[in-house]
Amino acid sequence: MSQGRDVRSAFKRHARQAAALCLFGAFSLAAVGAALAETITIGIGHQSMCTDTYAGGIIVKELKLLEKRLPHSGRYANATYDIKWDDYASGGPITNQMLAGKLDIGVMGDYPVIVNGAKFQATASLRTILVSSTGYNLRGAGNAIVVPTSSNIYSIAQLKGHSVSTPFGSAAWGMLIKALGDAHLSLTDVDLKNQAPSVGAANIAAGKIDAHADFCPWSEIMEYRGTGRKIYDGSQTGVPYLHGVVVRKDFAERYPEIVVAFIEAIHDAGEWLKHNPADAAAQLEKWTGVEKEVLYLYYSRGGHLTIDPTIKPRWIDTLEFDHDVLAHADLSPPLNFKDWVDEQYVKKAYAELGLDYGAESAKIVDPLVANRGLPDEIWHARDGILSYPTTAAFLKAVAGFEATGAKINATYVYDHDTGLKLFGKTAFYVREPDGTYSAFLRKDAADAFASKTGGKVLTFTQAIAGQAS
Amino acid sequence: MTRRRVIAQCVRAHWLAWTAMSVGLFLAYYLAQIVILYLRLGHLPNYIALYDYPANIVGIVRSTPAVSDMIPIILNEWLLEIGYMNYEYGHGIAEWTLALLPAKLVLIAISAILVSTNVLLLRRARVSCSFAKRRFGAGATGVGALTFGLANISLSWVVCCAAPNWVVGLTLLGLDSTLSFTLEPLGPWIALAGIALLVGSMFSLAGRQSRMLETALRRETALEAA
Repeated sequence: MSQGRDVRSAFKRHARQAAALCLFGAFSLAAVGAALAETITIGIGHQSMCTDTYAGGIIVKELKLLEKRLPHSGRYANATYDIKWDDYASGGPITNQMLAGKLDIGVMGDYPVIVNGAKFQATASLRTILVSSTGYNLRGAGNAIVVPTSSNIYSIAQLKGHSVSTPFGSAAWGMLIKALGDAHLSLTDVDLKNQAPSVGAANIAAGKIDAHADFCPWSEIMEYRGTGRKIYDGSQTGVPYLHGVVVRKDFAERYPEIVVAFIEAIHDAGEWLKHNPADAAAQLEKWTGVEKEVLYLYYSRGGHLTIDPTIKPRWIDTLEFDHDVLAHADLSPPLNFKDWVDEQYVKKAYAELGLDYGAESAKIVDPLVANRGLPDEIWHARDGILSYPTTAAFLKAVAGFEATGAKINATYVYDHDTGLKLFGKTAFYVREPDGTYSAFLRKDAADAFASKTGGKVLTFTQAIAGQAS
Repeated sequence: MTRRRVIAQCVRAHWLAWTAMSVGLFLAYYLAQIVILYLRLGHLPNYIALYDYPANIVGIVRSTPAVSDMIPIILNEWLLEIGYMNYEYGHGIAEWTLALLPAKLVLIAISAILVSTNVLLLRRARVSCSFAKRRFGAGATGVGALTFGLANISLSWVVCCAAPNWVVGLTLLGLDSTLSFTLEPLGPWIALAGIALLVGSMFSLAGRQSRMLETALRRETALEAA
């Protein structure tokens, strides 16, 4: 009897346990089911008027590259995505919207991205992480100081006593401070004004300001429209110019696969740009309103921008340098880079793409080396991009087209000293005694080269005239 | 009669004028900002955007673990944005914006109410106070309103001040931008000084009237007793 009771009792106990297990299982399944049926909102802040962010912004948005990479298996099997893109004129508002929880991902330039990390670290409970880069220029091209075309200022030293405007706190502002320091000028040696990119560009066109320092593509827009001329390029600072992607840490921890998908989408955007830069520039013009000829200067072979999501050790050094500049001007709270930079997502993305992250991360494109020997180009309105092996041949072709009245959209040459791609019409040319030509970004560099080689400095018009016969 | 009673009585006696003045000052403050923007930058606003403020607050509360972080973020939340979009470059850039932040709307409404109350008290003070005292009261009210108003300007001007910032107002009024940025951290203190002046002058004016009423009452009682 007693044994029978024990058996019944054990049976009841097991039955209770089994029932509890089933109940727990049912609840778990219900919970998992609910998670899978979730609608995931992804808020992304980008800048359609900041060229270097396009690979993580407008291209990903318009080509729906993120949608193509978003996970749809495992815990995301039944998930639906609601992607919200918000376009901003600068990085500052993106940070504010990320703080307010309206954006999860932000794409911005080096200085604003630092402020983003620092502002979040200044809070008690919120953090962002730097998960990838979008692109860079090793020599710092992208920022520049521009003067009105008719100005007789040709160097930064000549700015002493003149009015210079820049958007305070931007990457261009950081470059201006560094450039003035390098030229042994203090901030009090110039009449520094705080001006928005569009206001600065309009003032340069109207000749209301002596110089304006800005970030890409504003300087090139002014050059292309013929309203401004560069007297200083960011490449002269020797500090790389880069853009990055920051993600709210809570979002990244909750949806790491989405962050990985976003980085893969940036990589895809880079591949799309490489495939046909002229078509890409034309497409981008429709999406951003920035002239395709300006965009080609960035995204073509030998262009200013190298699309590369990897976070290189050198970029961390650069960002630390930039942070020092900001902190010195009381424009940024402290930033712990160790906590902020997180490479795990970009590494995972590269692994999923079948790429060697270590090898890709070690690659750095130096325009001076990479662009050596690249042909000069003419963007012919009818025939598209035409290439010429020498600058002399290029100038002769321009002269020929001008003689026949053919429409040229833009021309491109490479700076002798830095390898940077330039608009042909804004470059200075040195004709050496043997008849070869070299192009220069700055007049003082052209003068120095001419005196060394016994050559003659020419403007674009003079150089074309010399080849016209 | 206590000061608070004097104030309450004064407002009750002229509630229509008080309400009209408060609303008028409130609207004039924001209108003045648009006028300054127009005079300085030469553009009238060409766009307006209304935000889903309640939903945004819910979002902030949900996504911010620490209350100490939540409060400043909520205080910076926008309700309405009026601005000028420049279409010369790209598909348009908001060159300047006037943001209406509910937290600041409340503060501006309070200051408008204080100014209106002080104006009514000053009118009453014509019988109770000397010209010098009235001039002092009016001066304190004016300076208080001006400093509080300046420190609560919510204008942004692309890139330089991505978020609405009171120093943008100083820059637009012609102050050197470097100096404006140096003054930026003083904003809360300037606002505090402004509101202290407004409240202080209100109680001071009410106090004088209270004393006058008490004296009159004492005289009346003494006369009655005699």
